[in-house]
Amino acid sequence: MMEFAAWLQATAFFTALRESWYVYPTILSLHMVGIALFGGLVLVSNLRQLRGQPVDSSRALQHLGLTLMVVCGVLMLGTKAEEYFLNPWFQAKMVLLALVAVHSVVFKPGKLAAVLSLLLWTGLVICGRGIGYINPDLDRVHASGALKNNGSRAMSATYRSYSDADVARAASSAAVTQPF
Amino acid sequence: MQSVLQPILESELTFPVLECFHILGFGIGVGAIALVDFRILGLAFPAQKVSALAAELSKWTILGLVLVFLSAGGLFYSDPDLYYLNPSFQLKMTLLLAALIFHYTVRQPRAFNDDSAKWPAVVSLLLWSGIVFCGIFIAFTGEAQ
Repeated sequence: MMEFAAWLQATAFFTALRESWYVYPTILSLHMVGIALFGGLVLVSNLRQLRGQPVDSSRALQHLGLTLMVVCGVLMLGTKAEEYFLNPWFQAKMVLLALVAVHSVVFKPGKLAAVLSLLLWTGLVICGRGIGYINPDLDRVHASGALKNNGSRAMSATYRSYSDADVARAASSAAVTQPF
Repeated sequence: MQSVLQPILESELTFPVLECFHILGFGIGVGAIALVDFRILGLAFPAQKVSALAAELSKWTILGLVLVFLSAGGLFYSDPDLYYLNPSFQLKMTLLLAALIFHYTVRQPRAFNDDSAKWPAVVSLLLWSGIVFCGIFIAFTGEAQ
């Protein structure tokens, strides 16, 4: 999995995305626009289900919004695949996304389904925001060989939030290690 | 007051939690606006009149925008100069002012009257999307970079 991540982000396409200053924020903005324009659709159809009203929404529009968000999400994932795969918020987000898929297959429209759906989408937003606040220390992960032998235990020790010390350290070692 | 707020102000969690409320808020508020825009364009809720949908969703727009503004105040307060001097932030505030005025003086009255013109929906979608774009770009332009 991590070898795949390293390969993916090293491809010319994702390297180009990563190295441009404006492409990543543009994709992130589209991801957010997807939330803004189509989050309402999720809210309305779920609230109508809760009240037992006819949902009468537009499947096509829902699919368009989901496609926009997923495409942008995959593009962002590709730029920093290793970091994302090791990020617990990202992992939690993927679990929730899988649950959304399960939810859409298992549940018939109804009150319970509507409440669960609202909770899942809220959780997705929270996890999405959390991703930006954890930077797995890739240098240390690579150096320790943790990924090959003792993945979970060693990796959990490398999770740290962004502190002033990290910024200073990153700045001082930037010339040598060339972070993303 | 300062002492009561101190733990909140100093917590590392404050900023990300405010951001979550900000994102959920615009998901609800701008989402509700966008749905009416999509209806005006004929892309959603074909069985419902524009005015009925606008009436149903207007309170969600307000709720969402209230969440957005309350969280925005907290986010801005974390580093006022950084935001105030940031070109993306300045553009965002300009677009926000334009969007709010446009929404409540043009788009919303027309929606309530089932006006068939489509351009207000296009302008509305562009303005609100532009605001979201500028919000993201704040972190990538100016001093914040």
